[in-house]
Amino acid sequence: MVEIKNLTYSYPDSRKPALSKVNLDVKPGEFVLIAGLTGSGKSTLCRAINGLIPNFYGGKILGSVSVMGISTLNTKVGELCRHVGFVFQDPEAQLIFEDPVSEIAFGLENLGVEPEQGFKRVEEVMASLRLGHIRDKRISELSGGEKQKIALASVLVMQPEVIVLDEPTSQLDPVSAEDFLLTLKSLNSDLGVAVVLAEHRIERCFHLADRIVILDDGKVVFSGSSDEIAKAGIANVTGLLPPIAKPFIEAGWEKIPFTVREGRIILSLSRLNGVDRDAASGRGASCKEKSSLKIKRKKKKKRTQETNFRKVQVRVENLWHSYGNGVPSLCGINADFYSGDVVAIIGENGSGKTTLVKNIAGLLKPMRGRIFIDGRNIEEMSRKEISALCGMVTQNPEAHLISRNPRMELFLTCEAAGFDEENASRRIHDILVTLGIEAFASKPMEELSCGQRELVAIASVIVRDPDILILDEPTRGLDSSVKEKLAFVLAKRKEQGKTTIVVTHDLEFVAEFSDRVIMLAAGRLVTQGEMREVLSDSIFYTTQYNRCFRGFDDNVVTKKDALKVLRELG
Amino acid sequence: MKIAFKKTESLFHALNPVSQILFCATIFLMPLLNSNPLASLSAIFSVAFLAASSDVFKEWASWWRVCLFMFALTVLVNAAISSNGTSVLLKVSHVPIMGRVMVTAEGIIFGASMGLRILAIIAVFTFATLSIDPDRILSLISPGSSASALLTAMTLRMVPSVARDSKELLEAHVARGIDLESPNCIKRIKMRVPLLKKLTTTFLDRGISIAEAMESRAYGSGPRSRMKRYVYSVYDYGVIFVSVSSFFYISIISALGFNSFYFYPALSLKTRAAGYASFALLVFISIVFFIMSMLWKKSLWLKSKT
Repeated sequence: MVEIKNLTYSYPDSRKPALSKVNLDVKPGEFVLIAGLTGSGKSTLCRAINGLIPNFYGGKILGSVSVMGISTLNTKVGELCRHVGFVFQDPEAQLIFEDPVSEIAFGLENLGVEPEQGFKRVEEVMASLRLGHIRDKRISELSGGEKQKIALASVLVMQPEVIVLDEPTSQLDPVSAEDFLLTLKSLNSDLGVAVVLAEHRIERCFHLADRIVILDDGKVVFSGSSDEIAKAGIANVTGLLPPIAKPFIEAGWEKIPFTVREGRIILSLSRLNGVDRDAASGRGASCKEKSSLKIKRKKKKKRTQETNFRKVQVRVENLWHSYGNGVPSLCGINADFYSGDVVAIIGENGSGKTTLVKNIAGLLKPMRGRIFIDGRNIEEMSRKEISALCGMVTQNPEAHLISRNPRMELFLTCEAAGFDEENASRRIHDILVTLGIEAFASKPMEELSCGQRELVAIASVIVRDPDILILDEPTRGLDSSVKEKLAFVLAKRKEQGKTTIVVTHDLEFVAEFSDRVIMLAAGRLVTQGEMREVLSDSIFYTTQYNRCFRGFDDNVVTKKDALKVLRELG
Repeated sequence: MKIAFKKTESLFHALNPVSQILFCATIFLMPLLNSNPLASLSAIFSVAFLAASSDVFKEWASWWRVCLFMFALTVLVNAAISSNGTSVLLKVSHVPIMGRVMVTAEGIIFGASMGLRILAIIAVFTFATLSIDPDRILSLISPGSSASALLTAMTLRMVPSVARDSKELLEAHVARGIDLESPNCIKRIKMRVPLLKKLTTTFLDRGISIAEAMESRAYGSGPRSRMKRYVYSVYDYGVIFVSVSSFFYISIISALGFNSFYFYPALSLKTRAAGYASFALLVFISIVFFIMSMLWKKSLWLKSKT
């Protein structure tokens, strides 16, 4: 169906090939997952399949790509789209109209399909993707997941044999992402459409794929099933495996799960096989285990009491906010943020997480209630005073980057802060070394990878060394190597007694690096407390480890906890 | 104060875009052809009824604070500048720059009338923006010029995206401590220029992404077909008939000078019965449409005729 032979491709003005001697076959009805770190060539490979490379981008190309026997190298993209549908990363950047029906019908109109036939196809696709309820809505009113479903419908309506998707869930929250991927899987199963899905956070789709292809630096380093990949150990090295698989591999277990369900089956079997089942089970624990659990709970209480004596860096009192549409986006929030804590704010999209941190950073004014930073009401503070104490990396790190290279970007912040040249140079050097971006500090910004750009954006704020650092979804689109650097920054700030507030959907990241968790829903504070208390009490808002070990050991929240239990079992 | 198309379940929204445009054009014609303040008032009242019937009254009325400021400004400027008219209310022998100033009752009323005219025109456009789907207008003109229609559609979608991008950009830089509101003008410009550059780059990047997405969906691969066609309902025939008839009636009455109003040298109302009838007609049509809309909302049978 798709046949790629010895494909080597370089973008115009680039000497280094983005893809190097890539060979890939996609069979009819197959679900192929293309994984790899940022900048490994996933998007380039996807674009080579639908002919955008080289027809739209130009550049140097060697080897061959054919879809249904048609060479993509000398066929127009417009003709290829009858066979290959393409869904892009950002739903915002691919939708043209405001009316969902016009958007879905656009491709058919371009192909000159007769209206009667076109209507039938549009209706069928809308029904199969369950989009009927948004027919009369405006696209700008829809959620990210719904927009991405419209993008999928708009290619599906052209009845392609293959659908290629370039990180379609990277802009979506976990719930929408899961819904989108399940829709995709049902299309693959019910209609037999072949799917080529490029993703770098593959824990959500690992179990859906028939085959996984791993790219590294433009080369295919692995191609095989999920079982084979775990045995090969390649993905573990590059940090691509789903979180739940990692402790099982590290503990040396023979069977490796890729989903929570698989993990629970493996644990149940091990218990049935009598492998130290009492030690692994929270319910049926031995006396020794029960007492150890009790100790853990006592420790938790002590910790909660400890926080009450520490300095409150930020206090939010009865905070209300509305964007002017009459619907409150924050309703009476009360929260304290202690110095030296990493506080995670979690909750579904639209729950008010970003609104809360924007109020703390002084970007929004409270409608009602007060916010105190170091005991001072921020309404009485000037913008300059707030900026000196509180820095924020917004949801879109790209918005931070306006200079020619990373060094100049950091210098801009230092200049704004009024640091003298010597102080600025020292700070810039320290940050560049800490985040490992010294090697590309003078490189033009457009030559940096997404992960590197994200790091520069974070550096542009922390170079000021604010007492309060707010990170709004810092791990979205990041691979594990960049996350590790971020974790290092958080640990260093913690040592210095500085507060960090992280808004995120990445619950594994929350479990590993945060001290306290605040959960919001529909603008209300649902719960707040120590990380372990909040996550181990949740059913959905918790880590894969907790979901997997629930009933075996309810206290397992982090990878370290899981590893400990597995080692005891194994 | 956001003026953008709002989709609601109303009779006006259910109309064909041709009927919607003709209805608005008829109301727009009244202040356009007549300086008579009653003409402007009749247009404003008509639009108010239409806005209420289309469930966009709140959004439409939100614009009035700015409009009233414009109205007051027009009256003040005209009163200060124009010395025409016979009924002198105030005489100042010397005002710096302006010299001798004479405020007349005719000047004030002329300013108020012009202000009302501007308000009426804004009122019609605001209502049209809120109630007529731009995509539907574009699909209407696309058979004649598909490329222009598509370009307009893309531009319309780009506007909110660019607004959002610029907001994100400003917030990101304020959050990192960059002073964009410095009292020093040079410093302020120096800080804002890179943001403008970045915004332009983002805009171009979006353009490339859209072009890529369009090419991936066969744009430009051959002759296009047209999927969406709007049917005409009994309401459309009614609205078109009434709008076209009123359009010609208002045009003829205005051309014959039956609703004239003279401001200078002294105020003189030369409006005849036919002129008053044209003002009343406009308001009457809108009230009837308002009642029809209310009934339409409640009656499934009436809705089934859409």
